Amino acid sequence: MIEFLFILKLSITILSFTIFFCLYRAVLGPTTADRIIGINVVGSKSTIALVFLAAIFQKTSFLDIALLYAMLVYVTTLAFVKYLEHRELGN
Amino acid sequence: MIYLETILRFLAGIFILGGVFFFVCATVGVIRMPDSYNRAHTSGKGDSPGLLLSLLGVWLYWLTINPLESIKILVILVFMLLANPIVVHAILRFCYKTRIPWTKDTTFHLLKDTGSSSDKEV
Repeated sequence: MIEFLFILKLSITILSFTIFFCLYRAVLGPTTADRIIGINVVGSKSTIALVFLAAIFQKTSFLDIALLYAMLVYVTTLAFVKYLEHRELGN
Repeated sequence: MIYLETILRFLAGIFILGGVFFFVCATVGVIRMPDSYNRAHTSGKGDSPGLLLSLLGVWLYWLTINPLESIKILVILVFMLLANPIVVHAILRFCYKTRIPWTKDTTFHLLKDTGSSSDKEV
């Protein structure tokens, strides 16, 4: 019987490696859209990693931070895309 | 009652491992795909089931510890499932409107040279 905490720690390790490989795409992406895609994927994966950390440390305050971080990541990506598309943030 | 806890944790472990599998597939697509459109498509398709499965798994685990606080995980799940396809759609619209080039293998007339006779009539 594998412990449940071991599964959580293994998942966090794998997610950290995938975040590292997505940072490769975010830094060296040929176009602007590739960098935005990399940053978006890194943000959603680190939100999931925060929820896993809340389950490991048994702290419910990490869930509030994860909710706030998810909202921040998606709103930031939308603002980036809209600014680069229209060159203004009005309307 | 202790059997219910064991069953819930077993299901949570299976869900979390499935979600991490989808995340790894999304990462392989983001790295290996030749085009911005393909990369955005792969990240959107891989992230949605990944976060769905992993957050459902963590929610099943929190049900056995603190059922009241586990509602927050459902809030995160609903928000991310709504927001992730919208963001990927906005990125793809940005790609198309700023004319980022696609690969040479991209074709828009898949049935062009299959020998159909409807092209001559029009």
